[in-house]
Order: sequence, then C-alpha cells, then structure tokens
Amino acid sequence: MSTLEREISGLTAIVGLGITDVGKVYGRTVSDFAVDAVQKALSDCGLTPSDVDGIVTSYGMSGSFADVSASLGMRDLRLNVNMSAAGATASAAIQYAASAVAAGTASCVVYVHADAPLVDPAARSSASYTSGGPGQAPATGMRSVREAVGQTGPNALYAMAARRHMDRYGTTSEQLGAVAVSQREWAAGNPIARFREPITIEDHQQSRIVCDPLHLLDCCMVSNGGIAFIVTSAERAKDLPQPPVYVLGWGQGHPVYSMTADCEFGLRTGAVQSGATAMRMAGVSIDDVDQAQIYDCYTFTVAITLEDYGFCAKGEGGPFAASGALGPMGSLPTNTGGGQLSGYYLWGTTPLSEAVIQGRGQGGSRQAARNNVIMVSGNGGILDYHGTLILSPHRKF
Amino acid sequence: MPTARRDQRTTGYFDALAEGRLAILRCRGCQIWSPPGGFFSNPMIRCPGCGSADIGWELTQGTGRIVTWTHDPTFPSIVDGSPGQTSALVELAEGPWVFAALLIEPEQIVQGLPVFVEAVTPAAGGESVPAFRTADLPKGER
Repeated sequence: MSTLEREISGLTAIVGLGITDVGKVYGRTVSDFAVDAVQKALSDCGLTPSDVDGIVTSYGMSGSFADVSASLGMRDLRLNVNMSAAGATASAAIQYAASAVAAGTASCVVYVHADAPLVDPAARSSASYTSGGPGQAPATGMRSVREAVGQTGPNALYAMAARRHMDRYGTTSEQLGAVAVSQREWAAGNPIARFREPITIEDHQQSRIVCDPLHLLDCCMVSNGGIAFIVTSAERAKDLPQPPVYVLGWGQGHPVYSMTADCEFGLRTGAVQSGATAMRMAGVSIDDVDQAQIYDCYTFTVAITLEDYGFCAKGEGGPFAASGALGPMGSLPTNTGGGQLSGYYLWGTTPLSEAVIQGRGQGGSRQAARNNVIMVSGNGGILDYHGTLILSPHRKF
Repeated sequence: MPTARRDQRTTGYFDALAEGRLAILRCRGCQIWSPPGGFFSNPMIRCPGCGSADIGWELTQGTGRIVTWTHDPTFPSIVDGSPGQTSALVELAEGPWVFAALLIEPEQIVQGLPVFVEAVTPAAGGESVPAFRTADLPKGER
C-alpha cells in the first residue's frame, strides 16, 4: 500500500462553512447565492477574500457564475476551476482543494456551489432536468428516444435501478420508505430543513407514484441556494475560530456502466471502490464510522450506497433501513439534517455541509452522539459517479 | 412533449426504425455488438472491445428480455396520448440494452420476460421509437 495517501490524511481541514437562505428563495441569481455563500463562509472562519488563493466552483442547473471571484475582490488566484462530476462534485471538489493545499500549490481554497433552478410560480414554470425546457434546445438522437418513450429524466431511470434491486434482492417499497421516515425524524431538528413534519411508512405508501416503484416521498426536492466551504492546512486551522473538521480520507468510483449483458446497473455502484479507497486513506474500517451523510437524490440511493460501503451485506440495504438503524435512535445516524429528501437539495453540498456541522459538534438538538468518523458520499448521474470523504474532528484517527 | 429527433449520428438508427427494424451498433472488425447509447450519451464512436472506428448501425433480431422497467402514470401514452406509459431497459438477444416503450400491461411484466420489438410512431409525433410486446402474444394483440 502506498504510504503517501496516509501521509496526506489529516493534513487539511474544512474550517469555514457558509449556507445561504435555501429552498424556495426567489429573486436572486445564482451569482447572488454564490457570493453570499462565500462571504458567509469567510466570515464564519474569520478570513477575508485576500486570504483565499484558490476557488473551485460548481453549479447545478442554472449556468455558471464566473463573476464571483472578481465580485469578491480576489486577486492572483493560484487555483480557479469549475468542476463537474454531477452529484459527486462536492466530494471531488474538496478532494481537489485538499490535494492542492496538501501539495502546497495553494494555501486556502474556497469551494462554492450555487444553484437557482426554481422559478417563482408567480412568474410561471418549474424546475426540470428534462431537456427542451425553457431556453433549452430539445434533445436529439438517442437521448430523445429515451425521453420519447417516457423516461424523461432521473425519476424514471432511478425507478428502473430500484426495480432491478427489488427483483434481485427482495427490497421493498416499504423498506425504502423507512429511509424517508428516518430522515424526516432528523429534519425535525434542523431549523433550515424544508420539511419537518413527521411522516410514517403509511404516508410514504400513500404518496403518489412518480415513476413506479418510486413514490413522491422517495424523491428529493429541488432548492435554490448556495453553500461554500473553506479548505486550508491543518496547521493554519488551529488558529481559526471554528473547530477544524479534518479531511482524513477520500476516494472516487465510477462504474461506467456497459449497458450490456453483464451490466450491474441498479445492483452495484461506484461506492464499493470509492468507499474502500477513502477508508484505506483514512486508516479506518467500516466499523469505525460513527455517522453517514449519504447523497440521497432518492431513498434507493441511500440503501444501495450503505450496502456498497459495507454497513450491511449486499442487498440488505432495505432491511437495514427498515430496522430503524438510520434514525435518531439507530446504530448509524444517517443524513442527520434531513438530507435532500427533507432538508434542502444542493447536490453533494447537502451531505457535506451536514458533515461539517456534525464534525464541529454544532448540530444542536440533532447532534449525533458520536462524530469521530463521518462518512460523506456524493453520487451523480444515474449512479454513474461516486465520491467519498471521511471527515473527523480529530487530525488522525 | 418530448419527441424523438434524428441527428447526424443516429440517421442509421432512425432509418432502420422507419422500416420497422431495430438497429444497434456493431464493430465491423471484431463483430462485438454495442448499445446505441447510455443514459445521457450519444452513440459510441469506437468499438469498446477493440478500439476500432469501423463501427456502425446493424439490424438486430428485435428480440430480448426485460431487464427492468417503470411506469409513469402521467406521461402520455405513445399509442393514444392518454395518461400513463410503461417503459423499460430491454436486453437484446445480441447482448446490449436499449431504452424502449413497453406495450404490455404492468401487471404482466416480470424481469426476464421475453419480448419482441415493433416500431411505433408516438401520438405526440416525431420519429418512430422502439416498443416491445410480449413474445408469446400474437402481434397486434394487447
């Protein structure tokens, strides 16, 4: 095994976090959200734009905000990159920022994600991943065939993934519902969560079918907002006001589904490789993980990610969730802010932001009992991209 | 409504459908079949088996089995535009998977169900799309 990854483990920390108003926030551009998030993150850790020498950006469905660094008065950046690994971008961006800081090619890097897909209903329209929306050219070629047969976006594609898992492993809709129920329990303790009223399995089963077998309560929401993180060296972190959340490990895994006879779509994800890589770097095993912040575009994504990481046996993600393991009284506190199902949806920055809050011990009534090792996932495309971070309030595990 | 539209790289695919046949990609060198596209991707430009650029559209038998499926209760039926459309990933006899409509009632669908293709021009218009029926039913009977 390479010792370099172990040497890099714990050399960097997330020291600043800024979260704008999130949810149905109208009348602000994606640049507004991005600038606001960066200012909040810098204020959070007592730094100014002149302390920053690197910026990594990502945006969801709303176009770029290349004007942000200039708006903030940043100068002579040593790193300035927009990244995309779809929903796994947040993981990848922190990995890139931490790599630069660890290598010494940058000293203080901000990563900011912002998105404003929701349009004020008074001004018509709604968010959609379907091509051909307002201002978009209609799809052509094979993508247009997929859409024309009724698979217009992620709902149908994740539904087919979940169905395949159900057929193979016996996973049930009620078991997936348990993911939504547990996360809603956590959301009750998160003041900025959009949905905080408790739900039951019955509520999940009664919610309308979006794409069979997925019910409405299996699906995340769409939000406007921005989140920024400040990454710097562990040395510098010691002198800053917030408790550092150290970056102990990271990994990525991207299966590149063959879409042919041997394809494991819906059965196995890049989390297998990504999780193992991150745990090896961090020097931890799955039994050491105290809590999980898992990318939850759908309940199914949580179930399959947890089993691919090894928190339960392959195919047992459904029963694991149904046991209550993920909730406030469970053995593996998961998505403790309500996640993207109940809290807010800002791609992979949702689980990452909650990991920083929990790592600092600032979760208030929702603070989980243990936070020594926090596993954070990012998932993008239709289970095409996966990224993992292992964070901790301790520099070495 | 989303409709199927040909572009430069899919003329062979849509030309085949216009004649009621389903084409996917095949390498003319190593003879490996490849899927026509992924979730968001265009057709491949090299054979993933041997790297050859000599890859093109070739007719399939048009038979396969259902890998997985979904039903969207609001999507307008490709047959008559009424609410509800079932669709699937079908593994063709040649190996690759295709996105396609199903002309099968959801209660009758099981993983592995043998199916055969027909080309359907959706009620919403556009190019024809692949739609599969159960292989043990006479064509035209639902």
